[in-house]
Amino acid sequence: MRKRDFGAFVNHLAASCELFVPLDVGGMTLFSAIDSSDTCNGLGLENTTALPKRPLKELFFPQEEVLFAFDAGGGIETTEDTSAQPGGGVSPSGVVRVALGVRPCDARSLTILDLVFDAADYKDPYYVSRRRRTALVTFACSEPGMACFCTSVGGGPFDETGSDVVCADGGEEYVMWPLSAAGEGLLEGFAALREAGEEELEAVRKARAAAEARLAGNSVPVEKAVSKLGGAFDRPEWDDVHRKCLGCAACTYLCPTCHCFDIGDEATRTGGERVRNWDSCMFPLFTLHASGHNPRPSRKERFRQRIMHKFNYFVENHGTAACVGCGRCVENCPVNLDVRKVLEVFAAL
Amino acid sequence: MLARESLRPTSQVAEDLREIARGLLETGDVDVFIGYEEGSLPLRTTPAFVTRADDVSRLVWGHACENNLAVYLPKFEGKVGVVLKGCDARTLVNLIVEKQVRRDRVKIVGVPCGGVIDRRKLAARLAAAAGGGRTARAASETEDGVILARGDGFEATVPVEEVLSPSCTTCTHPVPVVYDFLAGDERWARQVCPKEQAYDDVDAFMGRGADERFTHFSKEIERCIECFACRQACPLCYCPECFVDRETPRWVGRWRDLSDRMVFHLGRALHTAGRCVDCGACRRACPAGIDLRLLTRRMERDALEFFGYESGADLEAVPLLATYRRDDPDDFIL
Repeated sequence: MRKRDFGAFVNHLAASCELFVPLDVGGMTLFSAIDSSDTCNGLGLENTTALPKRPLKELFFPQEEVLFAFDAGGGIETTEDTSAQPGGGVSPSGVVRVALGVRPCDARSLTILDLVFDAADYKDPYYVSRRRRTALVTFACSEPGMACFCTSVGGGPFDETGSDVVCADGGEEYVMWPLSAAGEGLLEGFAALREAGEEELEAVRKARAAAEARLAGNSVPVEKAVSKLGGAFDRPEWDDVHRKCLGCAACTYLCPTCHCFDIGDEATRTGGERVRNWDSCMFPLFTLHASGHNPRPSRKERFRQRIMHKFNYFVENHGTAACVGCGRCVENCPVNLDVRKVLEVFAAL
Repeated sequence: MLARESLRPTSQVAEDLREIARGLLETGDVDVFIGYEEGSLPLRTTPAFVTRADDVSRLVWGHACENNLAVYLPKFEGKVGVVLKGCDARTLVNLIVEKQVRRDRVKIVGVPCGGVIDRRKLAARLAAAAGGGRTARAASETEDGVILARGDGFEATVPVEEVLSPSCTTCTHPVPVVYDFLAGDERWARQVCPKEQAYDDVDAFMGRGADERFTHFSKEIERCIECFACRQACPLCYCPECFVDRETPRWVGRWRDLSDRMVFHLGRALHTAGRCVDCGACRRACPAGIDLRLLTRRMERDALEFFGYESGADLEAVPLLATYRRDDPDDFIL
């Protein structure tokens, strides 16, 4: 597809689906619904360093959602459409939402969230329904940022995991390849597509090699850290590594794989709604017991929880770290407490 | 050894800081020295907790030293040395006045401040200079206050003055009002903003209609993700339990409703009335770049104008909201 046809592609998708693209809202990039290419601010692959500030998980696991409404008479009403039930991937006809401009790390993050919300023994109908109804068009990264370390956690700038279509910069053209039936469905009927030539494919290969070489310099000893963390719960290093942590939730709320939540009722005299919203292990309330006892009384225990959950407990439970190396926590930490440095400390034990 | 005059500000300050820290740690006057060290991204620094005299070489100084290190002091046990800029020192004065920090437990190492970089402004400038989505791979600052950045196939120079944190451009106390040691030279501090100009933006804002002002704050607060980085970065937000964390009763709903977020932000702002010194730490910590300084500075100006009270200027001061005067005309009360 020629680069100038990108707007037409956006319109092609918007015509048949609810389309989400990362839009800059006052300096906070987040996936927002658009009707046509007019509102997408020249979104294109040349924009490759702009990892959306807010993670893709919001489209599937929003910061707050009403699970159901109830009234004093005993009535219960589910507000979210959970009709698309578990069972197979997205079918071309079943796709009603498309996220365009997804980064490979974010696409991969959903496969990690699937382990939690779409597991064999428990399926979250709200999450699963949105997952089944949504296809991802991913932009490969030709210029990874300084905080990126996707290749250290099993991903990569051209990683296809979780994507339905991947789109890459091929010099004069964008090169797109479908990875699923849903992806093929999205490209179907878009007239400006043509078979990629050897020249474009070569440009993509070169971009990929350059991006991967770039990330090799950002290598983090994650595997080594993971192997050490199992026995590191009581290590004195925690006293040191957490020290500058302010205890805010910028890292966990912007993390594409953090998934802890709280459920509560917002009730009036006559009824109310049951609400689920994000929670963060960095907050003192997170594990505060009704008795007043808090098993994680200080920032040290809370910080340890975040690292251990991602790189030890999650690995033990699911065989992968709960991290895709997007670097959002690194970029957005007010005190530059860099998770990569923390992992280096434990890898060196 | 180089004569003092022949060295330029940032490196001399860093050298001074290391020497002072070494002295304090070697004599046992402090258990920990809190300063800044090189961060993990271009032009980022990160707080450093130095406990051994041999490690003082980690300490750095420059316009990227954006954090207000006074935030670490209220819960600190033991004797501590800390690097403070002009505004940071004023927040410490407030912490001492409010009896959250004992003066005799802290060795204040003041730095005449040249202002700190606003990361967002700098990123926008560099993105424009680089073009094509290229990213800056390395950046440094010269002793003359110029940022040099480079990435693949581009180089950019940006004067620090053009990407300063907004709170620095209206700074009235770049030199700490209180210190035990001073690193560097007072002459290297930023020019003081004349007091009569310091609130020009607040006046201009007050000239707008109420609807317009409400829209302004709504738009800022709409971006809030409730990560509470602003609160956590603020040295004056030391409450053992924040009102938004109260469960019984709940003050703030579970929604991400704008009104709930407003309650948090406006409540927090009011809790800092007569205390906030506009160090700008909240704004810099916010991942969404939310700026409520028009509100906090309006209160700062009111304290000054109505009560002649300048927050954080005087160790002997009685906090503004803890005073009572019989001759107060109270003419604003019905």
